Amino acid sequence: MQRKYIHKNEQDDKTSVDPLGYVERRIKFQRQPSDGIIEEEIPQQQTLTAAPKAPEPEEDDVSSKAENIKQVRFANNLKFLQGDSAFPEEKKEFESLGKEFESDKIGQEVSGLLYQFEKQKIAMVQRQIQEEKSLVQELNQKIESNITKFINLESRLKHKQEELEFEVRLKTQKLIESERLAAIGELSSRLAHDLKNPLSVLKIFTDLLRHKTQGESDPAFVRKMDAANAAIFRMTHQIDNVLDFVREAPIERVDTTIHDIIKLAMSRVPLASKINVTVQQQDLPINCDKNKMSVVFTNLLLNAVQAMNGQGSINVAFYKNDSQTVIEFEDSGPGITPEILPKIFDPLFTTKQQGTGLGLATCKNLVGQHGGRILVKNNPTTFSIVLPATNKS
Amino acid sequence: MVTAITIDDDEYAVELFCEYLEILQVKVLGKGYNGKEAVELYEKFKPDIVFLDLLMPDYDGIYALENIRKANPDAFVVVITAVVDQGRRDKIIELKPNHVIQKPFDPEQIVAVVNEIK
Repeated sequence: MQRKYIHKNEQDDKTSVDPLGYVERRIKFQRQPSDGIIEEEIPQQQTLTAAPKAPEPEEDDVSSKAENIKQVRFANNLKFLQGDSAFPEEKKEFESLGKEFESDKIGQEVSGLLYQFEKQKIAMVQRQIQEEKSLVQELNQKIESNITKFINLESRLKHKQEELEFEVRLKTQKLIESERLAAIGELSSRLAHDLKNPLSVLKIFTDLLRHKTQGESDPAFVRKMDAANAAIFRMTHQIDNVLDFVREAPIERVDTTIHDIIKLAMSRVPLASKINVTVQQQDLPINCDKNKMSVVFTNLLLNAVQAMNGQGSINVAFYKNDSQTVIEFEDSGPGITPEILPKIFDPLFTTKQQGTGLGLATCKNLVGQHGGRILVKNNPTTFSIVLPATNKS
Repeated sequence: MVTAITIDDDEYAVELFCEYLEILQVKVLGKGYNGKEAVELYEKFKPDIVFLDLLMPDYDGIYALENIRKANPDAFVVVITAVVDQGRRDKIIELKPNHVIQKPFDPEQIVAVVNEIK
């Protein structure tokens, strides 16, 4: 029997199920009964140690010896296969090869297991990567959402800051304005006191004079007396106008009627004989600051009287429903031109030579203090006071 | 006949007003020019009406009203003033004068007050 060593590249034996190359070494053991030669594949590394180094024998000896060896080996092989242990060397070699065969089998199993393990490991790693990817994605989404929220919050904060700044500016302005008004109020109050006292003296004097000249029929004297009284009234009214505008006293509501307020207002307005005032017969109860509302009525009546230039008619009507009380002052004057209509309630706005330009602005302020509003329209000229209903009114 | 005292720091105002009161047949018992004199005159004459100005130097109308009320809680006091400022307003309301008339006033307002006493 002849043993033939075949050099074979290890890579050829690697199977497709072993891509990672865990099977490093594989040996095939084949029996070829036709010529009794056992071919053995060994790794190249082994070849170097296993290759015979003896010199080649002569041809005749070789053939005869080969025949002998062939026979002996055949017999030995037979014995070996029959379990004879007469050839321990051969048997050892067989056992060694068997062991290698078995280790090859285990190697395959290990390789399979390792492959399975690697496959699972890869799958696990892939899963982990996938999980990490989705976590990163989720995290990114959260970060994006948080950034969006942050941007929104920042925008809201900025908006709020602007609002607060605006409010502070407004309040500062209002404070400055109120301080200015308080100063003006104090000054006006002193001026009013200093002007009204001598006016009062003049008024008493004209009244005394009128009393003492009751029998006087000189039209020129009577006209002069009327002019003096009108001058005193105008000065007094203008001082009151300024005081009413600058004073910001809180309203004090009382139960009264519209007739009562009109009566009070009319006592303050000098009405020429050619001016006819008609007031709605049916009275209406109202809950308001009587003094302040009488200032409003006085200003509206005076405004109508001045607009009509000494002659015409004023009609005062009023009504109320569940939500509001409306008082209308209608006059037969020429009306208000469209250009000045939007400015008519502005402070210091006046079209007259006389007057402070504070009368209608004061009306707007005082009606506003009652939570109401004042409106104006033409044809006929009508000022409407709209007051919200109160629990008592 | 209705009796009265008048108190005002403006001398001309007092003179003219007293003349006017006489037309209305009111006997003026005394004339004062500040709050302290008002109290003294009131305690001396116990008039039916006190015509009292508010803003006066040294002792003002508030001082007078307070002390007259102490002397007689039912005293009939008419405050005649040019301006009632916010500072004094609450105090005046507390002391409850019978009337508050603003200067310059109409003769009818004084007539109405005098008729109330008559």
